[in-house]
Amino acid sequence: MITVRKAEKTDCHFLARIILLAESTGFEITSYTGMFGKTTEELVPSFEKMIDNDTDGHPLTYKSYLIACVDGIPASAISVYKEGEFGDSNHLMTGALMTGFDRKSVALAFGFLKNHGDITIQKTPGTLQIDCVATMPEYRGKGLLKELMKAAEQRGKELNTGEIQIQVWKKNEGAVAAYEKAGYKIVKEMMSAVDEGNGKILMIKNI
Amino acid sequence: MDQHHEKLTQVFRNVFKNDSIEITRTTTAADIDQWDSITHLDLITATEEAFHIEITGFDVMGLKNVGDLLDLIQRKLED
Repeated sequence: MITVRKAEKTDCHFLARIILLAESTGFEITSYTGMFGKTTEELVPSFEKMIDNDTDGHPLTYKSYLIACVDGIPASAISVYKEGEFGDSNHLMTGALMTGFDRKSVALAFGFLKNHGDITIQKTPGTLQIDCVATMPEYRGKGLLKELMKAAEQRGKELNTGEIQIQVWKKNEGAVAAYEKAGYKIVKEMMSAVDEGNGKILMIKNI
Repeated sequence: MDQHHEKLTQVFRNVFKNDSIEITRTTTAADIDQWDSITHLDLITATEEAFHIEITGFDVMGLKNVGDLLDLIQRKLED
């Protein structure tokens, strides 16, 4: 049986894996592994500690996640938050990263991001943001993301956001097609100077 | 607090390399171009240096606007 629920503190290990899995599609120009120069396995403990914080409104806290469970076992998750509700999400993420890594590592990681500043798409204040979407490999093909997206749209209606925004890598054609099928439209593209044919795409849906 | 406001304004001007920046207690990222996650770290570090205080990641997660940052500076200086 599939159920969807809000994440709790006890889900931090699972969510750390989800965040890093969401950035392992193979189409990423920037990723946490690239930013910190570490493997996923090396990053999991730091991420588990980092997302165990109660400041909602960004993807680096367990508070923003919805989890889909299969027979009670966490299998898939997405981060859902209203941009700006608890402060600028990028600033909150900076704070979260400072709790998980030393200042020098965060500065180096941001240096890596700065080199790819051409693909940055600003999040619009007041919109619902969907981020860090992933399903554990053994649970794929069961319609879990569809259930999570439905729950996310419901959350958007409760928060009266009017618009949902998702940022996707352009080369991740499977994800782009899936979101288009769910009613999302491409409204912006920021192409990379270093990865030809790739970049960030902004997709939106009005609810 | 006015003294802190003036000093923090200078920090903003230095970090964003813009001498015309004016900040108020309600100023947020939406009001200043380039105030992203990267420049936020630069801003926090420059604030620490200017006021001789230490700001943690948890402190940063409690900031919604410039007013919160001014209050944080005041609290840190009183500690």
